[in-house]
Amino acid sequence: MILGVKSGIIKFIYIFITWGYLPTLGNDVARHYGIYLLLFDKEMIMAIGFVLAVLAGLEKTFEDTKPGISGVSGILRNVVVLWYFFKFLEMITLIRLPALNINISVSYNLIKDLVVASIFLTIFKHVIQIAFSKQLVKKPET
Amino acid sequence: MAARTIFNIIKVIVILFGIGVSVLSTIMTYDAASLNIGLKDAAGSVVFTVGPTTVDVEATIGLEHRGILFSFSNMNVIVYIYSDAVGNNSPVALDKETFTINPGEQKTLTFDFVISRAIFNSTTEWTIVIEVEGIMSLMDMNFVSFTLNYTETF
Repeated sequence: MILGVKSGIIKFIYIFITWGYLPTLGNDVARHYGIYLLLFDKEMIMAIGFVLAVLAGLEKTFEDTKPGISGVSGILRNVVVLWYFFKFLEMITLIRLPALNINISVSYNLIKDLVVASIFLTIFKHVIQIAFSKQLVKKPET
Repeated sequence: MAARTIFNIIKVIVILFGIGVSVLSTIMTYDAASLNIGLKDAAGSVVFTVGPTTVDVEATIGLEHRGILFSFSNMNVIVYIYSDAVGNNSPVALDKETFTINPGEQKTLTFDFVISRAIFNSTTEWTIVIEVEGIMSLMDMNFVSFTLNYTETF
């Protein structure tokens, strides 16, 4: 259990840095150069990153001891990721570079489907985790 | 035990699929950034050759694909020329080229237009609009399609 908590904390920190903190740096750089505007402000990005980090932390903490809780956290996390991904696509569908007199509109076809499939596959993994939660509990080694 | 094995197999598939998608997305981003279209040079390279009743216009665009995996297929490049004497609603001339460019290739496109001498004489400001429509594809599969507009006035 202690090992699980340690892994959970590490996962929380990792996810919060990659999903909460680093995107705000990208946001600042982009705004500095006037490349594009994010749909969310800095606080919103940090808040979403925090929620994802908490869910990922819970997922990792209970992975071996309570797979059901881990699975539910995983599903919730991936639902947020899916919503965030579509918001991100919305944001980068039209890119304006006024300094260069360039406008680019992009339509994400197969790459969007692959990312969505990857998220749904992860959700499916968590559904299996919930369905077989009793059998997936790791017995302590003697 | 069986449930654990099935779960581990699904976990490995999810990880491998995720890695595959991430690698493809990263290469695609790199390839998109590696397409060099000399739009500014094109707008600057417009040459007007004045004749008795018409004016021949020539514009050249250089393209270089320095990417590694994805092709830009069915690329349509349309160059529009607008004159302030006519207005910005209808171009006085346009020309179009369609091509496919693979990683490591270079291409030069030349666009030729004919404009009436009367419009040429009454124009004080020209606007060149270059529109690029393309598809980023791999093995004939359409990963991303895009439209790019570049405008230069001189």
